[in-house]
Amino acid sequence: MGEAVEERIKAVLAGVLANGTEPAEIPHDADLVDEYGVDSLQMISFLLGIEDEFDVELDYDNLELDDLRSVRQFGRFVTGLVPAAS
Amino acid sequence: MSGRVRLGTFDAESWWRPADLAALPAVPGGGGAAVAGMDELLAGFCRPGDLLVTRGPMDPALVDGLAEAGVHFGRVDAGTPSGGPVERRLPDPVVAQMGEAEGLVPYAVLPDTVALAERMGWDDLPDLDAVIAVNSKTWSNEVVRRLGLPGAGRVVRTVDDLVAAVSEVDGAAVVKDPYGVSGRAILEVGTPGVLAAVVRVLRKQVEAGKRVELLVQPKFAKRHDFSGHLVVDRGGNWEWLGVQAMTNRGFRHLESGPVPPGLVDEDGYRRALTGVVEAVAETGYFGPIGVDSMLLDDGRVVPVLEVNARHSLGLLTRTLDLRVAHHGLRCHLTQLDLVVGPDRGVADLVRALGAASYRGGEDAGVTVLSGSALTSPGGRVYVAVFCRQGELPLWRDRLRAAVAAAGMSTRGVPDAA
Repeated sequence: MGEAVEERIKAVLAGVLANGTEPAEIPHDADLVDEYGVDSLQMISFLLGIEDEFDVELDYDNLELDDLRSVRQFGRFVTGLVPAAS
Repeated sequence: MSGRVRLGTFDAESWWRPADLAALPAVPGGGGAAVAGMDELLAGFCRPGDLLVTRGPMDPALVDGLAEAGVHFGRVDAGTPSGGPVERRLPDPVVAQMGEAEGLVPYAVLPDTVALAERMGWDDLPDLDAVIAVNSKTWSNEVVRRLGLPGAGRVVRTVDDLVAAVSEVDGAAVVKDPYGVSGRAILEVGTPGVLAAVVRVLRKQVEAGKRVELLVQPKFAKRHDFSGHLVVDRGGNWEWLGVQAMTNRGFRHLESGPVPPGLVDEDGYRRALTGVVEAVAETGYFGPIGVDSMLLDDGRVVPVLEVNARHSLGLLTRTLDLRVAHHGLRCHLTQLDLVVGPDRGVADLVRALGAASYRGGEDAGVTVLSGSALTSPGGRVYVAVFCRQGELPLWRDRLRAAVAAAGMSTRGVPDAA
């Protein structure tokens, strides 16, 4: 998986940020909350976008978002949901 | 004591929201701690003699800074109780102290606020059912429809209706919970995949016995958010307080302040709201009202996005604005989401402001309004910038410098500190 999944995640994130940030500008390990200021509303839009992009279903009641703070962490998470995503 | 008690619960909508409503997908948790600490902002409404009751203790640096700015009030805290509105958890000594006041001015009227007022023997609150009705986006949308105002959405009560309503929107749709707190329970649905995810989450709740009530609107091509503020009295008369510009990120408040000259025809806007305010008064509600509105790219105005029959950040900004207007200053209220290092807190930010602090009078400056609970790794603070027209960029720079000098940085602004 690796980079292809992460690039798709960055594209979803850039769309949610909607501030001119290009997907390629987002580092793999950047903290989405501290460095990009992603708030609860943007986070839910991001998660819905992830569902759409990867055709996965997220369990919103049991998400541990503290463990999902970077593109890389999201990449591992999505790959775990759908190994075929790689 | 000659003043009144001010206190409140800022996530009021979640206490008005019927328990049987299905909820839009949301991030677990949310900003509970940040919202709980917002009651410190009520200091900005206080007059000398008022008693401010906050959930937790206020940092003395905040209180001193407010006093320097000319904001004086008595204060007591409820000892940081957890669970539920502060009105529900007031210790007896606090209640005894409140008993010396002339009445209650809450941020919003909740069931617990009514119970508290009854306990104190105060009768200065509007009818709770009216409060709950007026604050629903379903109610305001119905009024907008009835009055023929632009921007009406469609209320849906089934998942299938939601799908149909979203599909009928030309472009992206916005789906709103009737009691969504700012920044939550509002979703942009721009693709079939996102709609499918929302439908899946809702259907699961419907199967568990919940009911659907949501407002669907097109995503408007926005030039600027703004809000109108007024107070309705018991007799249905109302006093216009003015218009505030709002800078939102997505659907969440970031900053409010004076409307840029020429942006809104205030007289025309006020006339457009007349029927809405009359409808509010007919319900029996009295008290402060903020109406969220939008100026579109093509110059048209959507006068009513929602009615907030409670205090609001826009009203706070306007209240502070009126305090300094005679000095030729204007108030800009700004929210800072801060990354905070170990052993740092709001007092460090107040100290770092130094000569940039507002000290009353004609000289511009900054006052920190909230953030007593600010601690590592970070949190939210509100500040008021009092300055002359055109000076805001300069004061933003000074504020950024103070944030950096306090050993903090601003979330989402990597080069801010």
